[in-house]
Amino acid sequence: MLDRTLIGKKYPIVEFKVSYQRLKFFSKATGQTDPIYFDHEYAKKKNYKGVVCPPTFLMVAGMEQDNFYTYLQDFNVAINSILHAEQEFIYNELVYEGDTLKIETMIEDMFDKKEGLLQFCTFKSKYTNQDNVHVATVRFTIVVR
Amino acid sequence: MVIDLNKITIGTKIPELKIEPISRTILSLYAGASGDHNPIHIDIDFAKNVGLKDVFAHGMLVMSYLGRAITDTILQSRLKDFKVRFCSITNIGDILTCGGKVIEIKERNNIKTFILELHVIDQGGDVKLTGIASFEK
Repeated sequence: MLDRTLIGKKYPIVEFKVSYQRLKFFSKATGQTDPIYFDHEYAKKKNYKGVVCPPTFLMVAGMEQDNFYTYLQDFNVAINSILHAEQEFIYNELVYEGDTLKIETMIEDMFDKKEGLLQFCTFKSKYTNQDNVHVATVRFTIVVR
Repeated sequence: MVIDLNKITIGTKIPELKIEPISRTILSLYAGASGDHNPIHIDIDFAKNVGLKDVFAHGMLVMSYLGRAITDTILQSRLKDFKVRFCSITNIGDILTCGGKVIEIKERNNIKTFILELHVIDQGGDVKLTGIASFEK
């Protein structure tokens, strides 16, 4: 049983600078075909501030910490006993190359299904850019088997 | 091709996006690019040690493909919410198809919100994830 007293736990704030190289690498790995996701000049021509982060790129910034899987220690579970159950992105503003994101993550909720056989935990992250604009909220839910 | 928002009605589909077969190369690239270094997606020895036959794809890779299907059709700046539920594991060699259709249109204060129901299936019709997205005009 996951320790429900962890609900509300806040994790250390992560800062992430969106580099052009990383963005280009991510776009290649996910097979992006629209040049706004990897071509600086093209993105500018299309009136974007720079190369645009694709919708799921924000998760990359969230992973970028000393050990993303720190929460496994909190739960005292092995990495192979968890699966990604749900994912949500709520967008306020686009994120671009060169932006610096501040990510504040907390445990929002824990619940179970199938009489406790499957236990879930939802992490909520608030993403703010260098201008202090709240650009997105991300929810990441894992299931422990 | 970006869709004409004036022509969207309930039931309008986004064009299907078919993805090349999932390979170990793709999973390694995604692990590096995404920063998700969980060995269960890239190290067959680790996978076997924990009782699996093989590595399997990152859920976020599959969601990223679905994101592509959306942004191929709708300007990303219109996308307000994108959420998925992962239903089953995506294996090496799977050929994924992403799709979706508009299930609801709301209008408030001259802003139209379109709700898309989304899915990713494999070559056998097995559902990998289901999702909902909303975008505005």
